[in-house]
Amino acid sequence: MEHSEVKSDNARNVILSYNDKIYYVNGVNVHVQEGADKLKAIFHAKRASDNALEDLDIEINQGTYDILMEYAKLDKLDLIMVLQIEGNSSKWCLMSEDWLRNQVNSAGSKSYIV
Amino acid sequence: MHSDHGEKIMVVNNQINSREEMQMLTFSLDNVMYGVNVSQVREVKNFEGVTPVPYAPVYVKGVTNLRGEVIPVIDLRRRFGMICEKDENTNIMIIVQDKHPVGIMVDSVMEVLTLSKNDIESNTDSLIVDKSEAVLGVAKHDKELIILLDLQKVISKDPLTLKEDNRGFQVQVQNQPKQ
Repeated sequence: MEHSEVKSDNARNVILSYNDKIYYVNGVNVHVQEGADKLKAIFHAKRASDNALEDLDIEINQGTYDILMEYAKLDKLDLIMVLQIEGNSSKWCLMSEDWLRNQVNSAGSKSYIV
Repeated sequence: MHSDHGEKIMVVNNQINSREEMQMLTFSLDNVMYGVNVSQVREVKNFEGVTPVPYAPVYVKGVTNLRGEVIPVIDLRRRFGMICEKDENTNIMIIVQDKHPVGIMVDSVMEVLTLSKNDIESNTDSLIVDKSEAVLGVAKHDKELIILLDLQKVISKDPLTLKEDNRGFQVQVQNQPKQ
């Protein structure tokens, strides 16, 4: 069994929406098995509502795995990643905090919370 | 005589106040000089390693043993958002925050300088500090510029972004061969 790791000190925790709850995820352990469509992943998460720590056992697809790896490799504090997993489908969004701040600060725009 | 002597002392003290000098302990971080009011620093010790603490904010290097007392150690480089990693030749400045000692890791502690307030540019409009209030100003000393910090505000969570608590992300992969 081979192990590898991509560690980023500067990337923010991934903001995860899962089972109608919001989490901050600071690490993911992925078990890659040759030939399998889905990958078993354990998300090390902190529930946003009460800061409770949870390990979430979730099956992810190759696309989600790829974007998590890329996000860790980018190692940029300015980026915010939001990942939504519902059943078998997942969506992700990558944003620049600077860009978000500019949107909020520009005249006429409404403030919002990520 | 006593009265005269007393007045004389008062005048001397007033002169010191009117000159408005500050004693700053200077230290370096990534070849930039910083200064902090000596009254904020309790002591300086050599870096002798720290014990990392799980789920601590990324700028908390860990905890260390200070004469039997366990204190947190803050990596100032990470607190400032600097990326480069360098743990050699470091000092730890011990300051007291809310009655509790806190260690601040820097590259090296230099010397105590007496700076006149005339040499300090504290007009924050000309400084790019984004309301952090941790930067008191910039002092000119010889040909060097020294960034003056309020260490209490540097390490307090409030003025700097709270989101730093949620920094850090890693992916660990285990490849299993087909069964």
